[in-house]
Amino acid sequence: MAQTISTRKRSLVDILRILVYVVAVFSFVVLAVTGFYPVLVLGEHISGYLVMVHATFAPVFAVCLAVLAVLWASHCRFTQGDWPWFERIVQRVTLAGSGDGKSFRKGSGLGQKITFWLIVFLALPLALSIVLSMFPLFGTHGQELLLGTHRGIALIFAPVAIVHTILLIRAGAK
Amino acid sequence: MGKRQILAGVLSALLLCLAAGAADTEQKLLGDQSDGGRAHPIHRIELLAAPSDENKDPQTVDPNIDPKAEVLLPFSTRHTCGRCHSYEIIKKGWHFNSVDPNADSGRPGQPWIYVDARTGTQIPLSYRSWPGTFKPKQFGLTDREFTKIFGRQTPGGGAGEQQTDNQDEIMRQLISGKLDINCLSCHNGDPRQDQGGPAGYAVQISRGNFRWAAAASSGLALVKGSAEDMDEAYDPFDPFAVEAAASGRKTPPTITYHKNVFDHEKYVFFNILREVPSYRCYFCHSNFYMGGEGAEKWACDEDIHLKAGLTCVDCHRHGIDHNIARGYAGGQKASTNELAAASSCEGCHLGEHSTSDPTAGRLGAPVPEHRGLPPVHFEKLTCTACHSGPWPAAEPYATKTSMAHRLGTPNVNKAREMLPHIASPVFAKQADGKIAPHKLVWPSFWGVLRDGKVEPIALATVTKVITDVLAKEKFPFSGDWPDLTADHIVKGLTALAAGGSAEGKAVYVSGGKLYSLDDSGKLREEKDHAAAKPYLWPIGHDVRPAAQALGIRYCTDCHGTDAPFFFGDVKIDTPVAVDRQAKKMVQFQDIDPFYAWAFAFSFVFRPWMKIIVLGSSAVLALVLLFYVLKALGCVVKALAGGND
Repeated sequence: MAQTISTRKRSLVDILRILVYVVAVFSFVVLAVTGFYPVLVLGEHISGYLVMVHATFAPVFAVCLAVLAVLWASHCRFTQGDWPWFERIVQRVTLAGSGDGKSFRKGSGLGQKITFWLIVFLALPLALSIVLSMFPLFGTHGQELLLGTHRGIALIFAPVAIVHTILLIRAGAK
Repeated sequence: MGKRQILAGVLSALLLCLAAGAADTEQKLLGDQSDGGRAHPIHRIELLAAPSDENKDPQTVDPNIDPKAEVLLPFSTRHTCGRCHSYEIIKKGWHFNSVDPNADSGRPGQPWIYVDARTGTQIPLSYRSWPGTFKPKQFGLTDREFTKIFGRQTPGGGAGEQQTDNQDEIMRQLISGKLDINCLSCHNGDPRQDQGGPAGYAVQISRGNFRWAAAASSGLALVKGSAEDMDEAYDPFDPFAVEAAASGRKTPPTITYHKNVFDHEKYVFFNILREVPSYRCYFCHSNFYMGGEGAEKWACDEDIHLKAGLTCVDCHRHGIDHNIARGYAGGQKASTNELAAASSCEGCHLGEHSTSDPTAGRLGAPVPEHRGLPPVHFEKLTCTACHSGPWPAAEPYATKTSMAHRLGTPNVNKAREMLPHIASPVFAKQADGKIAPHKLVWPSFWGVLRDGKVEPIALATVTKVITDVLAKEKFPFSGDWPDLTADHIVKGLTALAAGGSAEGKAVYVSGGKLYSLDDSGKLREEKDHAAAKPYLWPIGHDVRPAAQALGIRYCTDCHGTDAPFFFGDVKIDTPVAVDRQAKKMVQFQDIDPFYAWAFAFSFVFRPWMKIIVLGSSAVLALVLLFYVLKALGCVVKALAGGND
């Protein structure tokens, strides 16, 4: 009975996670298109209706990321098997034996984990740089710095998010 | 290229070099170049009057002459001041060069607005090539007529000293004289300098006393009589003619110098101010915003720069060439004034980036922080958009200006409704693509449509024809428009067409529409014709302090769904009663009104967005922190385990 409830609970979380992930991916696509299209195609900064769409989907994406971070962080934590070389270094430094060798288990989904944590890590300055610019805290140079930060991090964030999605899809296909 | 062409090229270059060299070595007068001393300049000089024959030398003014033998003449600034300051250089300055077709017109400025409620006329005129204005000549005004109407609020020169080629005016110009540049209008420190008094400069000009205007306003003399009243045979240099005219019903223009003006050497002391005080500028450049709280002078704050201790000429500077810095961003493109770029808002407050030395903070200008203001605002707006003019209201203020409403001159109609109807601030896109606050006037005039272009019909014709058509109408004492109907316009157009003096189709332009008669004689309206567009000119003053700049409270100062910046109602001003509607401010900004509204509406959710994004960021930070600490724990554990 307890097993059944646990399974049901897990499946609900999984469904929620998938739903949130789908919304996050959709929001990400909208944000990427509205953010990069004017710069790459039109040669100008985001403005007009695009900025309105961008600003509408930004909080949706931020919420999705927060939910995914909570739901997925545990799943994406690094295990001993993910970092055999690191464990070897630690053992050499501490002069400890490798024991029974169980610690050298092969890690799974390392790419996913790295990209997941990169997304969580990069999302912070990405979001904060733009939201802080909306408060009367920074002068013109500060504002330009924040905007530059937002644009620069978006450039790194976007490929990381794409790689993460690809890896996830590939893992799902297997 | 042939040898001849090469030779011609070399010779041309040589001639140019010689001309440039000659210009450079042109003799400078005593007052053309400063010796560097900053002390107050003393001007104890003799007064010189213009001779009857321009080829003769100027006459020294002697107040003790025998009036039966000689006519006591007014001193001429051209000769009195021009003895030490090159008049020909000064007359190229901004305030005097409007009639010079080679002078760069620069950014559109305030036009002269001719108004006549009796003919439904309100037309912006300018000698400068500002789109939307008409040259006085197009409106049938000669230079002399223009000067008589508008010279009151000029420092002389310009149209006032043009040699007339109009046969009807040659004699009149001999009587009136030319309106020399009146150096004293700006530079006289004598408190008796009278620009707008009952016998002052403005009145003298309206009487056609151009030759006497500078002396009459100087505080040194009293001028009576009117050149305009004299018949064309009158000779103002002939003592007999003057005496004969004086005994008649109409008084000829005569001057009496005050006692004690001349010292024992017949010299006169002028308190000449190198740096013009702001109240002198105000005679022509005052603004009066009506309808708002504190419209009275005592209740209004002046420009923050003046209150901070600066004067107009601290920013609007020039040298002997009087090529004044107009003070707008990009002004250096139309000006040779070396301080043109440094005299804009950015020039003082941010510094001029093209110079190698730091220039920010000139005159104590604070460097603005603009905390929380997205930089895109600097691409889309001028500094004045947020900082200049009155705080925008649901409707722009009815505005009076010195030049348009002859403020400070006798018998001004003080009614709020007095024409011309100027509205401000109107936030409109200007030529450089930025939104700036403007003053706005809707042209109303009778014209002729020819090849798609509208030319105004000459004032004399309009006055004659339309005054008759509207003779039975009631004209408000306030100086406001009469209430015209379609019937009035039909009658007016029919009368003008019957006159047949002008080739083309008679039209009436008013309230953004072009009215004409179709083939069946019915009235036809055309909206958005180029000639019917309102004329707008950007305003620079009064500058409000940073604490009163738009956006200081919140973004919704402008980005509110009913914020005047985008959604203020700009009334369409016209004598045609049924067409007095309004346009939204956003329609002057080339912005889709729905977009402006939607963008403004998004600010309703802006606080939510901030909370959501900040909350999400907090969750992300906590997750990150939690797992970083956990990882650290693992590392510490591993390290501790190794040491056991």
